[in-house]
Amino acid sequence: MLGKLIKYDFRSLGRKFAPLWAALAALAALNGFTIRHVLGSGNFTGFLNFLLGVLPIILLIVLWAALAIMALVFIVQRFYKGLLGDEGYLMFTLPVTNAQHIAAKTVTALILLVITAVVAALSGLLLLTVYNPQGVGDVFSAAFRVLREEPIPGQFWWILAEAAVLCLAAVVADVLQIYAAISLGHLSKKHRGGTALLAYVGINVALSVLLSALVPALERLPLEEMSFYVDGYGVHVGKMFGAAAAVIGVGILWEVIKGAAFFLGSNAILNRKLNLE
Amino acid sequence: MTTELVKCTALTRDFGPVKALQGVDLTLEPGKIVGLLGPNGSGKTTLLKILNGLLQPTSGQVLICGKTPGTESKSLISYLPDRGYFPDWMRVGDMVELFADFYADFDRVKAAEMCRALGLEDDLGIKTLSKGTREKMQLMLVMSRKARLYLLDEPIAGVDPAAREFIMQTILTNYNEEGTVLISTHLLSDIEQVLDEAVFLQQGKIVLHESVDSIRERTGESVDALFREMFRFQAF
Repeated sequence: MLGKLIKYDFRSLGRKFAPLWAALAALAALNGFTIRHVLGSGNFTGFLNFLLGVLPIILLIVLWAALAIMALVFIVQRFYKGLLGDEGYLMFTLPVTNAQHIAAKTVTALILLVITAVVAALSGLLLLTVYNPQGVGDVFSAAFRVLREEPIPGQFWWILAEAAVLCLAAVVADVLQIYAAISLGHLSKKHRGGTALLAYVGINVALSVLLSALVPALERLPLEEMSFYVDGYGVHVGKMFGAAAAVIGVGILWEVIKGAAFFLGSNAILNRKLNLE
Repeated sequence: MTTELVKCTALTRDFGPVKALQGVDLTLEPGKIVGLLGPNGSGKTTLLKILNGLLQPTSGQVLICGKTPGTESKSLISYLPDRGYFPDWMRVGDMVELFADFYADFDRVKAAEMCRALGLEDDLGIKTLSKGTREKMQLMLVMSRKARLYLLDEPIAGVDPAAREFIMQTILTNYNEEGTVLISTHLLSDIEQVLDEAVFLQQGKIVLHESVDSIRERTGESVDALFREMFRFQAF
């Protein structure tokens, strides 16, 4: 049932964002072409040259920001309207659990944010490639050459992998914090949107207080002594890398605990206090 | 094995100081068409929402086929709320597919026939449909299920007489005869002929639950006339 819920959330996401992602890529290519033409032609000088050369990049950055805001609005709306608005009369009468509803929304939000970030990065790369294909090719071949000549130590890959997991865990926890705030707002009889906003701010304040109490404890960890082997891969993560791995590991644990608390809190509210208008 | 499809015991639901339901005891058997009748604000929608698991009771117990409302009971209930619930990004085909995906008792052939009758193509965007067509489509989806319990909240409120006839016809020709249909309404004259039982709800309490034949025999008047008589004092 979870897969089916995700299927429909994906469909809604695809209808809204696929054209935007395609438009962003097309604009990036067009902007790269414009910059190349303007800067290479020598037809424009002074401020006009600067403007025509820089404006497309600014436009792309503005679009990145717009896309990020739209993704955020989509995440909020799919939960607020899609579950707790009139659509809730459909969704909450499907034979699925509330936990599955929250999980489906979280997975969809995570995929949306990952794809949006990848599309934004690729659009930047596309702009540079169209503007200066030779230059981009040189950078990549230089990077591969360095990697071949001086392979990155295994322990660094471990840190990278941990950092990637931390990013994903943080995104999931942030999304679940939004859902928890909206669920708390649902407890209010009136002004549910405003209460959700206040709840979001309140959760942030509470987390800051909690974190400031926890950080001194983290500082007491014997970070210099952190050293371990990754079984089966012969990778030894030690010394400075060990300390970094430990800190990131604690970060992952923090995000997982936060995410779990938000998930369970939202689920409890939907199970016991659901009251659609 | 219980034959009770629905069993509510001492059911209450408060909204702050407002007591929407006050000690409701209700038992429904399979294979009936039951009218849930009462003026606006008598607790009809609240009761239907509790049966659906959309609301939790303040106290008391609800059992659907012997089970408390949950995913299992939701697969047995086909619910028509008193409002539109379609996601505006969906097309007609998406909604039909969604019902087929989630409800094992959904009859796709029947749905396709009704879509054709309503002139609904699969790729039509739901937000392009008129309010009346959306309501009919919602009813069509709900009645394309072979459910054990149909909960229909005010299906004929706010529609013209022709649409009322269409709605009643759709309900009567498509419901699962082994199941029970619970129709909430305050427009009794349009549905009295099809009812087996009537449940009168007043200020959150059941004041009458009797078979329609028995009411007629006992009072010598129609259920509609009795309803008007009982609730007349509430008119302004």
